This record gives sequence, C-alpha cells and structure tokens, in this order.
Amino acid sequence: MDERKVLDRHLAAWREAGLVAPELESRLRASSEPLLAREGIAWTRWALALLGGGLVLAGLILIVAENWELIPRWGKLAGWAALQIGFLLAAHESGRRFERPYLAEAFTLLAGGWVLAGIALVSQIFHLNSRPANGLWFWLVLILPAAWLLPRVATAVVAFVALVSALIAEIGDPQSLVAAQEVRSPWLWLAVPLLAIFAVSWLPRPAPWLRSWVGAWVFANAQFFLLAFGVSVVTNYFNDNRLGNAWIVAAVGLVAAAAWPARTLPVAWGNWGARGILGLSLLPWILLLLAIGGEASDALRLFAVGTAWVTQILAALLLIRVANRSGSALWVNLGFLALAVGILTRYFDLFGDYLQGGAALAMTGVLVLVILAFLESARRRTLRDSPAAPLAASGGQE
Amino acid sequence: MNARAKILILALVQAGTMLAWAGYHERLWQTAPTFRIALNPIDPYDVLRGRYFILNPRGTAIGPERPSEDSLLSAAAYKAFLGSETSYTGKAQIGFCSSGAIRKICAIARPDAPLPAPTGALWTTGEVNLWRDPKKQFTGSIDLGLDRFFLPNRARLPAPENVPGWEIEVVHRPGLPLLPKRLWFGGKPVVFL
Repeated sequence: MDERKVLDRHLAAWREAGLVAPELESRLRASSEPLLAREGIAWTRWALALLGGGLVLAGLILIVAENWELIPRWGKLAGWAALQIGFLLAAHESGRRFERPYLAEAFTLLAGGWVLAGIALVSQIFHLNSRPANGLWFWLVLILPAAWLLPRVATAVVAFVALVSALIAEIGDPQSLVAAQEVRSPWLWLAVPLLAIFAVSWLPRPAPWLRSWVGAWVFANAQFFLLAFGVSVVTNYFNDNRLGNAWIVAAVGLVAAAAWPARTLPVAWGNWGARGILGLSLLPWILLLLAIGGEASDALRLFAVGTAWVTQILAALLLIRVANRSGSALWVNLGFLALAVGILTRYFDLFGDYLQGGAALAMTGVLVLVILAFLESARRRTLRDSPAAPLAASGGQE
Repeated sequence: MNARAKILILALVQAGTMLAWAGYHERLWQTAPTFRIALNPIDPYDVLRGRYFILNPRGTAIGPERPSEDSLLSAAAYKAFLGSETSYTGKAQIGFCSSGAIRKICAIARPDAPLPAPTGALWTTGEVNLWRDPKKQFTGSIDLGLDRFFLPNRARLPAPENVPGWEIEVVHRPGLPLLPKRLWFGGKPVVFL
C-alpha cells in the first residue's frame, strides 16, 4: 500500500476517534506533502506493466501476421478498431472503478502501442511507401489527446517514445528539412531526448522519472564521447561537427535543456549542476566550432582533446558534488563509476604502449586496485558525509 | 460530459481516423484507373519488416547499359529534359505509355513544365536523377516511389522472384505518385487477401 493511502487511513481513524480536528488534519496533510512527493516509484509494478502491455501487443501483432491470408483486410481493420476502443475503456475503468492503477497504466501503454500497430497495419494492407517519419508523427498526433483525457503517466511515456522515434526518423531521412549530415558527435545524441522530454514535460502528467532516464542517457553518452574524443585525433571520427540542417533540432533541444533544466534533467543535478554537466560535456566540440574558416588547426584539435580529458573528469566530479548535495546516492555512485572509467582509460591511453612484459602488467594491476580502493573509500566517505537526507534511499525519483 | 464519454470519443476519433485513412485507399483501389509496370523484384527477409518484395521497376535506370526494351524514353527526351544544364536531381512529371498489356515510361518533364507529347500518356510524379557525362551520354535513375510490396509470411509465390514475368498493378492518381495495388505474374494477378 502506498504511503498516501496509509496516511488517509490513519487520519480517518483519528478523525473518527475525535483525536484530530479538521484544521489539524489539513495542517498534518500539508506537512506530510513534501515527504509524500518523494515517495518512491514502484519499479516492479511499472516493469510488470511494461512487460505485460508489451507482450500482449507483440502477441496480437503476431496473431494478425501469422493469419494474414485468413483474415480479410476489413476484418483486420475492424478487429484493430474494436481492440483499440476496448484498451482505452479498460485503461479508464481499471483505474477508476477497480482501483488498479498499474493495470490502467499497462492498458494505456497497450492502447498507445496499438495505435502505432494500426498505422503499420494500414500501411501493410495498402503497401504504402511513405517516409517512416510521417507514420511516427501521425502516431504522435493520434495519441496526444489521451494525455489530457486519461489520468495516466503512461500517456507521457508513449508520447516521449513517439516523439523521440519521430525526431530520429526525421533527422535520419535525407529528404527531410532537418536531415542530419553526420552524427559522429554528441550534439544530436544528447539533444533529441532532451527536446522530447522538454516537450513531454508540458503534458498534464509528465512522468518526472523519465527525466532521470534521460539524465542517465545524457550523462552516459556524454562520457562516452568525451572518452572517445581523444581517439579522434588519429581517426578523425568523433569530432565531426557537421550536422546539416539537424543543427536546428540540436539547438532547440540543448537550449531548452539549458534554459529549463528542471523540465529536462534530473532533480538531483540541480539547475546549475545540470547546465554545468551539459556545458562540460560539449565543450571540446564547441571549441572546434570556433575554428577560423571552419577547418580546425592541429593545435586547436590537440587543445580540444586535452579539454576533453579534463572535462570528462570535471563532469564526473560535478555530478558527484551536486548529487551529494541533494542526497542522491545513485547519481553519486554513477559519478564515481565515470571517474574510475575515466582514470583507467587515460592511464591506458598514456601508458598502454609501454605495458609489455609480466612485471609491467602486474604493476598495472596493483595500480588499478589502488585507484579503485581509493575511489571506493572516497565514495563511502562522500555518501556518509552527505549534507542532505538521502533522496535515493527511497529508490525513487532520483 | 463525464470522463468515460470523453474516453469513448477519443477511441472513436482514433479508430475513425484510421478507418477513414484505410477507406480512402480502399476507394482508390476500387475506383481509380490502374495499369501494370514490369518489375525486376528482389525478395529479401527483414526481421522488422517481415517478408516483402523490393519492387525495382524496369525502365527506371538510365544509362547506356540498360536494356533498351524496358523504357520508351529516347536520348532526345533526356536532352530536352536537361536543356542547357548538365544534371538534374529533383521532382519530375513522368509519363507512361501503353506497350502491349503494360505501360512503360515514355516521357519526363520538369515539375512546372506544361505536359508535352506524346498524347495518351498517363502522368504521375516521381524523382529524376539525370546527368550528361563528358561523352554526351545520359546516366541516372527515375524514382517512382514504388519501393516495397508487403508479402504475407505464409504466402506461396507462383514463381521465384528472379524469374521474368513479374509486374505490379498500380493505382494512377493524376499529378500524384503511383500506389501499388497488386502483383501480377505471367499475365495473371497474384491474389493475397
């Protein structure tokens, strides 16, 4: 039972026993509200809702695919329409009448996915060869009203998936107005989910925990690109800033994230922490953009690589600091993991060529163990001395 | 209006939109004029897309090595299309003329150009990628937007895809791209429900 229901039950009992007056009850509720707001997310229920909804969806699609020739085309379409009406009504009734909120979320996910299945069905029946992005935008348009009509967080999840898919299809289509020329830099990898989460954040029930997932994606991708950036001096691979017209998508996504971090990135990062991590993650590529005449000199490239080495470590340290201040053990751990990966990568970058023979390998092993022991000690000390109450102990929003 | 009624309206709007979209294409299939184009299909299998033909219509490759019987376009038509330019990539009007039981590409025109002779051609839209090399030979391709044709998983084909005789029946909408309707092989329609 969730904490809010427990509180309701106790207050009702105290009210009946004459222990609390209405005014005191409302004050008690107001005082508990911040604690309830931090209530953890029932990940198991969400995982089961996703698994159940996904399996039903996949099963229904397979049934239609395997019996394609037996079901007339209007039979397929009528079946699709009847099931869609049924899923939406089930999402509504299971939440309202039967008080099964996670079952309602599962039906909402199913209804959202079933709309895409319907678009694919019509496309298959009539052999339509339109751009994939068109179908995904159509999906988004059809599911969007549900965000206002169904009081379910799953509507935001489906809208987020639809928007990310549509943006990826759009920038991946050479005929598109925002076609990407190159994706071998972090701009679009970071900006597309940020733009989608920013748009979804305006929905009535925006699923705040999606921001944590987007934060994890942004941080992991940024770290990967920063770690791999050094390789690009040789291979010229990860420093390609040519985005084509997709710079519009990148600019909108990153500006939205910088201007409204509370709508796009995890609460635990804080507003300035989020901006700092984002800025540090992109700094080497920003430096390359400053090249006169568009072609970066060798000196500038070398400077950008050095910057990447530094900013990768700085971004990890900044994450540890801001997460520690907000009491999020999960993000602190992730920061230390990034720090360990960064130190080890740079060690092998610098000394990898010299590690020949058993003694060198043994000494490297000892050094790795010493570094890891030091970092583990620092991690424990950081968590122990955290100035904030542990937000992540709830296993929840951060 | 209560919440349930709103949900019902949403469901009906979603279902109605999808059925209206399907109905538009069904009506086209039933009423719009159709004709057939010869194919060189390829039959791949894709885990995500399932089973389908890559249609690969004949007569869409432009070059000295292409089979001359696939297209009714002449070097003069390419020359007139390019005018003073040496290359063109973009939308174009594409004319189809009768050639026995099927139709072949017989004319191309710029999107804004008045439709030229030959009369009797059915005009549709597509993309033309054409250039004239230093030897004054024309090379390129015509994209009709006929990429894939979905095949049911358990469908049995009358012949392998590499056997000559495959054709696609397309729906003709003047000024719009062609839409695939059904496959033909050996002069007979291949029926899928």
